Amino acid sequence: MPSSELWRHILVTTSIVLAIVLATFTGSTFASVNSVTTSPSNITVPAKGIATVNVTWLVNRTAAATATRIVSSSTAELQLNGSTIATVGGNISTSSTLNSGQTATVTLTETITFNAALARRIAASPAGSLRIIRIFTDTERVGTGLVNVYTGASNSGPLAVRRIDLAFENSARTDVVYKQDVVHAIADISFRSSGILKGEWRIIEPSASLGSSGGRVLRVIRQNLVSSGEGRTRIVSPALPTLNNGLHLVSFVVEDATIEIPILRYFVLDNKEASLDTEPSELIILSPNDGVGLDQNTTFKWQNVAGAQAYQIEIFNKDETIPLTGKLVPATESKLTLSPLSFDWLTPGNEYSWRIRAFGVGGKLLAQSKLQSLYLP
Amino acid sequence: MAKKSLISICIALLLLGLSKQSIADWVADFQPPADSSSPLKILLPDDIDIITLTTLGVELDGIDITALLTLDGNNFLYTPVEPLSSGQHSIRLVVFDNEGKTNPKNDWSFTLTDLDLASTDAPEQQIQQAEAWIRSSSFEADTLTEFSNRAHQHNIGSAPDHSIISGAGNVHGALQGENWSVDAQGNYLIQSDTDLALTGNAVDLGEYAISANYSGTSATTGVTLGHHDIGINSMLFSSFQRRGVSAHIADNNDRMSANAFAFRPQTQVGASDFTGLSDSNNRLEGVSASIKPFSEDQNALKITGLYYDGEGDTGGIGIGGEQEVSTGSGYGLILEKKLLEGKLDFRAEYARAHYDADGSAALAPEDNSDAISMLLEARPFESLILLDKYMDIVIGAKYERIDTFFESLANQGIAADRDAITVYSNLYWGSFSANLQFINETNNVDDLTSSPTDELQNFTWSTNYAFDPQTGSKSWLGTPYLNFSGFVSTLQREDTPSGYLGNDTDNASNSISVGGGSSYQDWYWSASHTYASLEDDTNTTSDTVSNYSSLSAAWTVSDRLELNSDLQYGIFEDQDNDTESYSTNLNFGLRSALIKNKLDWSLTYNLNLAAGDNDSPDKHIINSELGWTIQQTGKNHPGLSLALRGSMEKTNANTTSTSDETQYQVFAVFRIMAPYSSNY
Repeated sequence: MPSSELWRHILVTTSIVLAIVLATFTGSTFASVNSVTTSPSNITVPAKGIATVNVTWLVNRTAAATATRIVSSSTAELQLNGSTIATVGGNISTSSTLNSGQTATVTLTETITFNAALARRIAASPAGSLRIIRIFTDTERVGTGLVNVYTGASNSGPLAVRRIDLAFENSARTDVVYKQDVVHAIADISFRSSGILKGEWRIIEPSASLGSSGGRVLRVIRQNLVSSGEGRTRIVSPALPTLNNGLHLVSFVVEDATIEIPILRYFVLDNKEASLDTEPSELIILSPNDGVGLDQNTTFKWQNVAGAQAYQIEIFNKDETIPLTGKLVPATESKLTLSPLSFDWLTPGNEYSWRIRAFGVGGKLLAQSKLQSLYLP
Repeated sequence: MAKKSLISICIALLLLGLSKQSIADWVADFQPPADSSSPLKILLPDDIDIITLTTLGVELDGIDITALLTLDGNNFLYTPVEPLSSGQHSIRLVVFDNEGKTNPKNDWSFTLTDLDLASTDAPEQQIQQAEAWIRSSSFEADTLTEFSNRAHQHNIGSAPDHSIISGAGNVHGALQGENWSVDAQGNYLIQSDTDLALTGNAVDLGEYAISANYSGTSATTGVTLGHHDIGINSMLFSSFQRRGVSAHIADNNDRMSANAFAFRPQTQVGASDFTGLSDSNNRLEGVSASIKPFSEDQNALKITGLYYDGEGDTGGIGIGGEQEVSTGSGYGLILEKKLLEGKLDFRAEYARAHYDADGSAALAPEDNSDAISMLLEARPFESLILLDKYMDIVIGAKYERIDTFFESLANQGIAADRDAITVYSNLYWGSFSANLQFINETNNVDDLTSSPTDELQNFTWSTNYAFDPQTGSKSWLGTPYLNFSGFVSTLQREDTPSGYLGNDTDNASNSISVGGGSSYQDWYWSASHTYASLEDDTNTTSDTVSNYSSLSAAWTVSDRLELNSDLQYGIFEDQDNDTESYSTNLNFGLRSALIKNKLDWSLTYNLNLAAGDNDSPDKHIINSELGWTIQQTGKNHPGLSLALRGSMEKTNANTTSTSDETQYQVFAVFRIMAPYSSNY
């Protein structure tokens, strides 16, 4: 043991002995710290990784005369196998005003972080536990409190989010997308223990991203997470806004977590359909069903395609790729019936295949349906 | 009155007679288009009457284009929606009779040569200039730059610069030869206020990847630089998309392949470390190799070996949480084999990891730990039809044992300390699907003498059914769907070491979600409710019950107006502390083309209410933008627009007014969009 640590240990031990002696022989004649207890009395931290614990010190004191006293403790000592291995926490204090002879308890709360190395030392110690010791004084008398810290499995204590890995669906962490693209972010969350995850998807839109950046809540997440040791889960965001050009920031915020909030940036460009070549998407046919018998009342319906200027139904002889006939309608229409012009090309008893295509500005093919079949009775 | 009616009938008959006469007599002519995108014109007589016009129909190459004809004086004009191909085209003009039958009036044909095609195609000269070994190439760049000025503000604190230039762009290029290809893509961000910038630079690279591949007669090989993933999903490597370089080679029978790689473990953007390899203290290097020793058959045994060694920061862009400069190395072996003619998949993996969480800080010990997993997955039926519907069933079992201190630099966040057996089943039958899973796992895999051992049992299910589009009297139901999911789990102490005074473990949690919705021609809705509870008999954590409901809908009112809204309401109950909190979140969005292709307006309204024992100030947030398109963006044609946009955030505390505040800010924006693309 280094000599400085030995002297510190002797000093703490002497202080404790003196405090007990003074408390014993002075009785209630003078102001006194009667006792120091903690809540919780025992703490369990995982043997692996970083752990953060909250300790509440309850200092019970009796006043000899009416006065306001500062109840404080300069530091917390961590003792392993009887030896002080570190001091943490720093000074904590609060004021206490009591009338003469009055007894009351003051509360002081602090948060102590155990790094991975410390947790491993506790787990490897013969006792498997560590003591946190604080000496409190009310400027006249002192009292000592302690709390035992045990290491347990990874599920010790309440749910602890230990890591959030935020990325877009394409695994990018910075993305440049187009208007009306469907974009989701995914939070890959690593956690210990079990409990309810309280989180929020938050977005800062271009109307605020170059000014204040409070952002708005996209969705509140309350999800039970369970694991025996460590767990991992993926939470997918709702569709992120892509209606306006400009810089967007998205984050997943976990309530009560001490970890840094990860933020992703994405920038929305103009419509891709308006500018660059893209693969056509699938146009969804609503009616008629595949293999329908065609007549002049058969109505072709489809789901609208954003940016479409016109829709064209094309009817093919089986296994041919050049349309036999069809019909072109403006994008204000989302259904059509074939005119006699088209029926002129069709022969009763024959089977045909058909599809619908959506064209955008400049004739760009935005979407097309899968080939379906029909026959003319 | 009778006399007037008689006169009207006479006039009508006269008009009808005149029109019938004109159908028989008039002659149309045709003016072909100048090129593939120019209008074609059908020249009609000057004196043709409106009634006759309504009886005409026009076909182009068999497609009825009548609905898209416009009138240019008395002539029909049609601008091709899709540029016409080279070759011969036919035009047919018909007259519909009273019974709707067609009477041919005129037929024309015209021919477009390659020279007539629109200028979007590559000039012949460019093709000639291209090197003979380049078969094709393409380049795309799309950029948007905004000049933004915060014209007005209220209660905005230490805000960024009032005038800001911001923007972004995507660049993609590809070259293709006979047996080789090069593909490069990347993005960048511009931000004149460097406090808001991605990396602190006004202009900086975001993410990029450049790959070059060569296909030989017996093998393929390639090199990739930039952000990518080597495509291995194992206990040592998973979701590891980072900046770096990798090279691969594989024989054309897919019997042998090898990959060598080097990555930066920290997520990285910006140009400062372009390759990701400039810092030797922040680098991970390794190799992987696969071989099918007995056969090249797709069902044959495949053996994959992995090795890596590295050091680096485990944080970066998008990462929150435990971030340390760690050192690690590891190796692993994966065996994969398909049995019973491919109906049974077998996979086994062993991984050994050496990991020091705080690297050279040397406070935490270096751990040497193991992980193993075995998977059996069967798809027993092939082409199973039940009640005219295709059915597919997958049944699987998996065993995993991951040591307590197992970590990998290339699988950051792996869930370790688990000794788990999982059985699962996935059923797909027509539009119905059901996924069931049961898992039993214990912790303290390393048998730490001072630590207890707990056991988790968890049953999870998820079922979905999508109905066919409803018709007739049920058409109001649209195309509905339903889903039902949840889990039930218990976590209990299995073994407590003697003298252990730490927390006990005895809790149960469950969650049930029901949802559904339907889509229609122009709108959809969906709704869901989730109940979740946690009951901790050791009182380590509070017992909680939560009930969350959500409802959302979107409606395309017209091609000029779209609306969407979603509402979420939740009650969270802390039973130990006897507290209840309520949250309400409402979003409403509106998007409107006030003047099509000219004036656009968007608006979102967001309401966040938190009440009950966890009361916090209510927030009303409005974001809006009014955009005026000065010049529409087209292919290789820059676009210009102006916008007025802003946000308002009103904070309103229920019990105290000290937090009440209204913030707003208004921006004037000038925007330049500059897309460019070429192919040859």
